[in-house]
Amino acid sequence: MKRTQKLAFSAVLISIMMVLGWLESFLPVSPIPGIKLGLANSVLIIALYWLGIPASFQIMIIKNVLLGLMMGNPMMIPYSLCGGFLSLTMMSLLYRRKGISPIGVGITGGVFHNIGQVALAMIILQTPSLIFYLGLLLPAGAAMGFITGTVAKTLFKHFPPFQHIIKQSNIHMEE
Amino acid sequence: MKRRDFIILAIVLVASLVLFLLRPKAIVDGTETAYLHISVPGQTDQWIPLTEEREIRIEQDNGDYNVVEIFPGGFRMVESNCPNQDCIKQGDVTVDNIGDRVLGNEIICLPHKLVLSLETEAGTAQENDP
Repeated sequence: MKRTQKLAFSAVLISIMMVLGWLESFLPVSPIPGIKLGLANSVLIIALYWLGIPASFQIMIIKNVLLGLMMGNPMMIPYSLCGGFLSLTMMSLLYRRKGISPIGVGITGGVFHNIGQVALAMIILQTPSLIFYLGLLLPAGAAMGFITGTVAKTLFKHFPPFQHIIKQSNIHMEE
Repeated sequence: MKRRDFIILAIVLVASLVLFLLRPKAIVDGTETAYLHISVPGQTDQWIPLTEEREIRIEQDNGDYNVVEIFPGGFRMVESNCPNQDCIKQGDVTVDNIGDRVLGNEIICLPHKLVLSLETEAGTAQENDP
């Protein structure tokens, strides 16, 4: 994949995530204050299979910082970054392994997105009892991950993430 | 879905079930006095007995403020200058409804790093009215 193609893909994925993040702010109930389901972050799974690990991390960071500024709530940027980093790290470790479909990767990403945010809240608020809210957040994250994983899997039937494309794009990133 | 997908899903469901079963439950013993614990790490740490009806204003050095309404056996957040207003949407916390609330015995204002919690005994920090 050429650098230009990659840039265009990244831009499209970032804008999709921005719109999803904006839509998510209209959801009336968020289980934990300031901690969202990670609708936008789970688009990352598509970025991961198509563009590889380094590009996905770039997309994740840009999206979280831009969305935080756009929503006028910069205080929340560290939380979404923490969730994004943990989620993407876990997905990166799993996505090329055999026996795991994009659905399993999506579930892992959704769950760790919530774990990352709650963990940071536990540290900043010095309130260890927050861990119990994961009891409700984990199934929510898993459900979201299942949906995005299924969407990604369906998409990959028509636009398969060729391994050589991923390899090439990694070389580009290292230049 | 493949085999390892199901393993991942099973781990997640078992973990959340364990956490859900271990969560704090309602305070059944009505003889104890309930306290409101106000906590902002590094700034505020106080316990207020929930015996009368009144409003408490919590101000921070950087201009952040919250107003809590307390009443016998419970409290609610009524005002905050935070951007998302999630703390107000979290509703009442009373000795009876802890087991039913998503946030249990707590109201959290994440942007202000403020945690309000309902407790049955006062902690070690000195009790004083703001």
